[in-house]
Amino acid sequence: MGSVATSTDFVGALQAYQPLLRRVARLYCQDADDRQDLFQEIVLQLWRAWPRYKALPDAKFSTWLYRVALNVAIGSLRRRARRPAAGALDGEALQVAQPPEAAPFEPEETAALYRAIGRLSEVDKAFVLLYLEDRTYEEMADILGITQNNVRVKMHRVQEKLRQLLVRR
Amino acid sequence: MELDDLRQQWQRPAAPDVPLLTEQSLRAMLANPTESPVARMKRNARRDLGLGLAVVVLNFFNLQSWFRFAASRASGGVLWWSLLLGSTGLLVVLWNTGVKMRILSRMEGETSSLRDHLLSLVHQFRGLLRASVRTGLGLAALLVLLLLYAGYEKLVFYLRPGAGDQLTHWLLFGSGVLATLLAFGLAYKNGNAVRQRRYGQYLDRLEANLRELDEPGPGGA
Repeated sequence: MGSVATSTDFVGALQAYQPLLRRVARLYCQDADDRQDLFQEIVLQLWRAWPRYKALPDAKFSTWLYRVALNVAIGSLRRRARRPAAGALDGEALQVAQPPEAAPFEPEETAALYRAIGRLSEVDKAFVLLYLEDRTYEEMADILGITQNNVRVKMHRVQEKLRQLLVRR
Repeated sequence: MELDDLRQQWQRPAAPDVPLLTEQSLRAMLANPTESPVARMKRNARRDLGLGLAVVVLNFFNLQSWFRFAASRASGGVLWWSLLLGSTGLLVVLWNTGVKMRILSRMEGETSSLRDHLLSLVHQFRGLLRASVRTGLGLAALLVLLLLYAGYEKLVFYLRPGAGDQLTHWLLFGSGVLATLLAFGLAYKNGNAVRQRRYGQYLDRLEANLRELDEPGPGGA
């Protein structure tokens, strides 16, 4: 009885955030099956942690969600993705993220940026994710467990890395 | 094109054909969870426990013979010694499995920050490696004790002064000791390879991620 009510609460609370979880999976997995597996693993982890979240009166849902999702994506020790075949990430990412009629940039430019992101380390991808998700440095620091100053420095480095990767292509 | 330019596109809704999570799909996920490496390690730990118990069951008659042999010896309390050693060996294996399961369970359900989570995982993995090494050493020590117990009288008799060619006897004894040490060395090396395959590769990866996250910025930021 209680379990049914809890699962209803859980699914209801997660409803609006599912695209976020899909985006995390998309950033960390090149293959559609791997993405689905990672999404499922994140949801299961959230489900396991749900009773503890409910016991925290001041916890911000999105911060909690990002924490769990990144902990699973980076800490769950999944097999490292093989280097994607040229365009594997970009094709689907473009399809999902950029309808042709609204594209302000050439698809090739976007594809190159996705490719460069795909070459970053797991930790650097976490910075990219939170940046793309419009999180503040304060929230990023809270999610990642480092100081805001460190977030700022590392974010700058990640952007520099991406620029270099784009120049080298 | 830079990250800022990608933001708007990034947050567009996912493809419309992606199924949304429902209570039914959640129940299906819970019934058929994907197997993460930690879940796989748990399964391995349970399998090791099963194998240990199977060895005990399959060796039941051997154990009976051993107890009979031990009981027939002149010195008092030998049966209890062998029983104690056998039980200790089993307890070491059970303890190791318990430690593994406890550590692996702690790896799931973490909701702390990424850095704290990685730190905790590194700590847990080191614990797993330590438990594995200690179990190996404990079992090796028990094996040596059992071998010594079983062959002590024959060995003393074989090496007693005035019994045949002393040099040959001691050479053979030394070779036996060397062969035993070599076997232990090989077992240790093999154990390390197994540990590296099971846990080490993950520990290396976690430590690399943690180092990267902890890497100080300019001026120790």
